[in-house]
Amino acid sequence: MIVFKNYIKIVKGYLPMVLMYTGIFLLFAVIATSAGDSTTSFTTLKPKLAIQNNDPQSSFTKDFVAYLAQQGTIIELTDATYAESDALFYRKVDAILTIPKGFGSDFQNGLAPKISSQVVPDSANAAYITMFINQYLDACQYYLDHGFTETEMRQALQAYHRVGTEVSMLDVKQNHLVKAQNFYNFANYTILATTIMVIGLSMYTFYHSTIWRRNLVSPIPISKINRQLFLGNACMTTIVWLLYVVISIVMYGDMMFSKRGGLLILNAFLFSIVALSIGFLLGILVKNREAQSGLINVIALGSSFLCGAFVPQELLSETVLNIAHILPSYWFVKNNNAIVLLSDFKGSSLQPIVISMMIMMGFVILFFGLANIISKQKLKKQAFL
Amino acid sequence: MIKMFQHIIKYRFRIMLRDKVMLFWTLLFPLVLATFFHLAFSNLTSEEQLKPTEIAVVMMEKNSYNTSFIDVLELLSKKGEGQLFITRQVSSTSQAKQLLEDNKITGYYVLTDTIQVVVKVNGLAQTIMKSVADQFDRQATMVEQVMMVHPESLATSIEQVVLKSQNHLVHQNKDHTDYTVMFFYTLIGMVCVYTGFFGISAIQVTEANQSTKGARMAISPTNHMNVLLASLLAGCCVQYVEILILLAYIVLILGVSFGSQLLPILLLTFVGCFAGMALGIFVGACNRKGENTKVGILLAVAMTCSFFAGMMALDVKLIIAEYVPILEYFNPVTMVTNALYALYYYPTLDRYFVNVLGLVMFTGVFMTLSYYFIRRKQYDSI
Repeated sequence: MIVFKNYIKIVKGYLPMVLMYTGIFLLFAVIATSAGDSTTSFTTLKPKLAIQNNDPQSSFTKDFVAYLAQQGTIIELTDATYAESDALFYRKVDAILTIPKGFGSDFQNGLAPKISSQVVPDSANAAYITMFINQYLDACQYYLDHGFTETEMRQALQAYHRVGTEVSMLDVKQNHLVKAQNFYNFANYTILATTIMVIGLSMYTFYHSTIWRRNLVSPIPISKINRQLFLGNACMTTIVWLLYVVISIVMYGDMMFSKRGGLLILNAFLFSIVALSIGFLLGILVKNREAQSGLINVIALGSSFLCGAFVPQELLSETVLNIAHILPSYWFVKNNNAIVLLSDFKGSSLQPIVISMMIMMGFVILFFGLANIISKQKLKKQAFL
Repeated sequence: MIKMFQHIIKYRFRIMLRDKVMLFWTLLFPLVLATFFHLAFSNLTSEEQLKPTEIAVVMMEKNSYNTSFIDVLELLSKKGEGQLFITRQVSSTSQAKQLLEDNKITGYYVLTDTIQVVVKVNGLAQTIMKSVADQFDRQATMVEQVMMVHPESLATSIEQVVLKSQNHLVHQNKDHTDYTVMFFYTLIGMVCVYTGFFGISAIQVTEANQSTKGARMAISPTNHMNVLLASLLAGCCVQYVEILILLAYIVLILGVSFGSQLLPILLLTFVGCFAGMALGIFVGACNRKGENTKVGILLAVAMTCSFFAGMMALDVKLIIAEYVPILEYFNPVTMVTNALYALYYYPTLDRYFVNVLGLVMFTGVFMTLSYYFIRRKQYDSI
């Protein structure tokens, strides 16, 4: 096992890199998966509102602001000049509402004062905010038009707000796996980056011309060298994969042991094999260490951006997704999404998932096949050197 | 003297332009990254745009109340601006349920003697569905209330209540609210810091204690500072041109908006270049590690700065800005990003100049620090 031992020795040097990537990954995984909707009862969405109230004395305005606080979440923007506009740009608020001076009395006197609002143009949030503000003020206007006094109106509004439509949630099994789905989608980047790097760079070390020639003349047959290298690669890939499985179990606990969780883990394993084959191909194909690290970055980042690892697939444009079909990551991410949405485990439901898995394996065969052809040609060339 | 300066510049140019690895990282990689950003983020803001929601409605009981609700839905499903729904009427709840389960619709209304909303998850579209039904129910209540309190004033029917809605808001629409531009801005910031790679290589070949080439340069009969300045100037020029190429690509080909003020952008990237160079010189001069290690250090610094400037997640930048805003002025990538953002989003230039000034000070500090490592060095033996 001399080759295998040597392989492990080389790989050890890349350990800090692997740990660094995993560290970055964990940071993102925690950020990205901390949000998530897991309620089973219906709650209305509350837009974030910043209110500049220039008419704080009037009781009409007070009621109105109280209504806004009910419909949305009030965000206080206290500090300096830029806070307001920045908050809107970074979507810390969905609307900045300015209630003009004398709003309450003007409204009651039928002067139809306007509230000025800064919103993100054409956004759904802006539409909803406009809708519920207009509903309230329309109602007030209606009461006032029909001769209600302020006290009568307040009572009427209370009754008005008690009326509400009943909303029921369809009884679907709540999916707590969404977090794990995001986790594994994001892992697309790190699994690719670490596996390709480790495999590619260590393959490069072995197949580097002078070292390779030295090994060829050694008494160990080439098939044995290759077998041990393969074993080393397989070990490394499994270790990287296991690392992520363990992290996901630590983070998401029991749900990883469910059927869907198991499928996610299996899917990640198949993808690790794809990453292995890409690393293997690169190690043989690219002769320059620097070029290799450049390529690794482009491949890992590229397939993560284009295949929906960073930005969900449903938010990518159709053209991008069409291009992404030729990348194995697309099938991996697509499968993660499909597994979480799986409603049952009948053959017909599982079929698309199995197909995606087979396509991933197709990539493995393709990449290994290419690597084989290339390395044979190289060997032939070297025979004449 | 000047001839020597020209000579060094010329050869530094040739060396740099032949360094394929360096060109890849400083030019090609940012271009590729910008392309990825563009492909991945171009649809991101469309998520928050108002799009008609697909819904279904099941009329279980046919009465005037329910028919007028259907009328309301039809009104809201009318094509044009402000269209909320795409409504389809189905005959049974099981059919609607199937549609919802297959994610064909966001939710459905069941009209019996009351209106009921059925949805699958929480969200804005679902909230709007509830709000529309609420409003419809409430209008009926309003009419009843008026009948009870002030029956004498009641001359309108329900239909008229529905129609009598006003807009009580004036939208002061903000332009330039596309936050995805920030990713491209951080990219420009990152490439500015990448100028430091040329700073490192310049130090490497001109400082006697860094390499044998440096030692050879030190015994040549030219002024040491001249050699260094010529190398740095050449590095800045190459990187500045690369930044211009990147800018042109992002603006002209990818169509990302940078506001309309070209001159301030050119000035900013120029200053940003120098800030990156100063950082590179410092990393190059403050230690005697090999060039690869130094490049590694600068790369790590650039990545960390980009991370805190929000390149990977905009939230990170927001957290910094909210809790430790002073840190923003230690981060050249953030300063470049903020200045570009100020040009894009604000009509005035004061915020832009604050950041440019910050970059100038950053450059000054690191140049001075480096100067203490470089100045008046003499070696008896190395």
